[in-house]
Amino acid sequence: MALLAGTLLAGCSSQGPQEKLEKAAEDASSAVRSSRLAFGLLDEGRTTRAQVKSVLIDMTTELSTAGKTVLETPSAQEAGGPATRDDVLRAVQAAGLAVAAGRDCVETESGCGPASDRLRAADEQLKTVQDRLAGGS
Amino acid sequence: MKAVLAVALGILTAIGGFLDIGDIVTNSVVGSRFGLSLAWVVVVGIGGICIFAQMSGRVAAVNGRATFEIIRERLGPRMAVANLSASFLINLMTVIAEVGGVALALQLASSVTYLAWVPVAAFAAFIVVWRVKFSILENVTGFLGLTLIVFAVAVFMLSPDWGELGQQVLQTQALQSESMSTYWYFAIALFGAAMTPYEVFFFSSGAVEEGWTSKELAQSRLSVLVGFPLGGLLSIAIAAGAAIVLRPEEIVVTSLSQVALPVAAAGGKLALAILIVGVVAATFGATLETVLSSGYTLAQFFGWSWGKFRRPVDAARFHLVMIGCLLVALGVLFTGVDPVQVTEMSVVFAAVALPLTYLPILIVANDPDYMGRYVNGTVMNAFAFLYLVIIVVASVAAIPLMIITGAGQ
Repeated sequence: MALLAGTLLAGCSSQGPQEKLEKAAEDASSAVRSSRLAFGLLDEGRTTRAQVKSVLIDMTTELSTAGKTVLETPSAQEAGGPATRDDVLRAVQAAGLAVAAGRDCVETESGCGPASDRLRAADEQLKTVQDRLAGGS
Repeated sequence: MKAVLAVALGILTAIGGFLDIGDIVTNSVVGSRFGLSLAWVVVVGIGGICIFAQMSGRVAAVNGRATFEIIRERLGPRMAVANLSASFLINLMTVIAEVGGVALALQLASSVTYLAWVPVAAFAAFIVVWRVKFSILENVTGFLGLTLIVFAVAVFMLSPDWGELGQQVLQTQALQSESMSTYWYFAIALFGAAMTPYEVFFFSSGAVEEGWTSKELAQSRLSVLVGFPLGGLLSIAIAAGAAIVLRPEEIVVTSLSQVALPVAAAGGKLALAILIVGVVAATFGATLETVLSSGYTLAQFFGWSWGKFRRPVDAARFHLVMIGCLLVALGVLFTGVDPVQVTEMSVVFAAVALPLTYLPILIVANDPDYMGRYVNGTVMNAFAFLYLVIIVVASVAAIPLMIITGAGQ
């Protein structure tokens, strides 16, 4: 049944390039905000490094899926052409690098200030891209 | 006094044993995306599981035989094999999801990858199913699962705007960017999570394991009618926590690690530690229940010797089925499939299979030859038929909605 569902879902995906880019940016934004929330809780001493590391590992997977989706999306004109797709990809990749930097600092138990700053910047970059996508749709 | 303690124990283990990985993940995903606008589905689902669980418990207590034995005898092998196939496959999917859930919870505690915990969880389940007495495995995991009350405590500690939460409960439609088809897809997923078939098989077979007779009917009814709704309140608390902390940040839950964030935000490291104990207990308890249910369904259908009350050597095929299920779970999880996605799929497919599971129970509970004076009354039948209609509608709509929404994307 699961195989059947997977086949059906793969075969019947009806999202266009615009929707795919929007969804990838939304997923990436959710991943970055989860990471920021986890970092915030760690700063306040309300959670453990193990929990934050788990969040960051999961969000890395989420961001790599989002990046793959963007790469596989054709550069259709209705989705703003190749420039828009490239901007989304850059934002998602920046988010992935920020989360990876967060993981490094949690693992090495070093100061996480720079990683937090990168996450904030990645969040803003994704917001800009999302606004542009929303304006274009 | 002994009877009161037995009732209290039954209720407490019913609350602690109610939540599993399906409830935890689905309620958290729904809370982060839809707020509390789908809380009504949990209430409807709890009503359904209460009706059918107490019905199957009554069938087992009155006859001294579990549901599948009677279904095959009463409805014949053809109808019973449809029931068996649907129930067994859904059960197997749930075993995979629960073993994955234990591993993910242990990853949260240790930061060691969940793949390293998968064999540990499966082996521990095998040892417990093989060696530990039924009453102990049921009560210990149920009691430890009670620590999931931390979800409800967290909601109060977050000091939410209760008026806003109340408005979400009353807003029974999709919020903002979500489409109606996605709203209904998740409604069916929540319904499937609340009415997972294994709970009924475990309840019914457990009645035989513990040697219930018609004298224990009142006690079992109380356990179900009080314990399950309180367990349902915990489901709503999970969604509420996600609605309060994650939704305003536009965070959509895709992993178990995110489920823990609202609890940590509310109660810090202590609450997080309690939560991890609860999630491990709940998912491990559900692993045991689903593994046992796999053995129960197959053994009862084929008329093999079954039950924890027998020595493993006297119920060899029953135990082999359970070992086989754990090995399948191990194999599937080692492919790297995301346990959370398996969970999300399993609750939707559970909804698809619900009519095949619950219709036979209703037929048997209405047969005076089996039930004597304990046959279903008019009021019970009215509710049961109403639920059967809901179950059929959910079952028919589940796959089309899954395709339309891309599994809720």
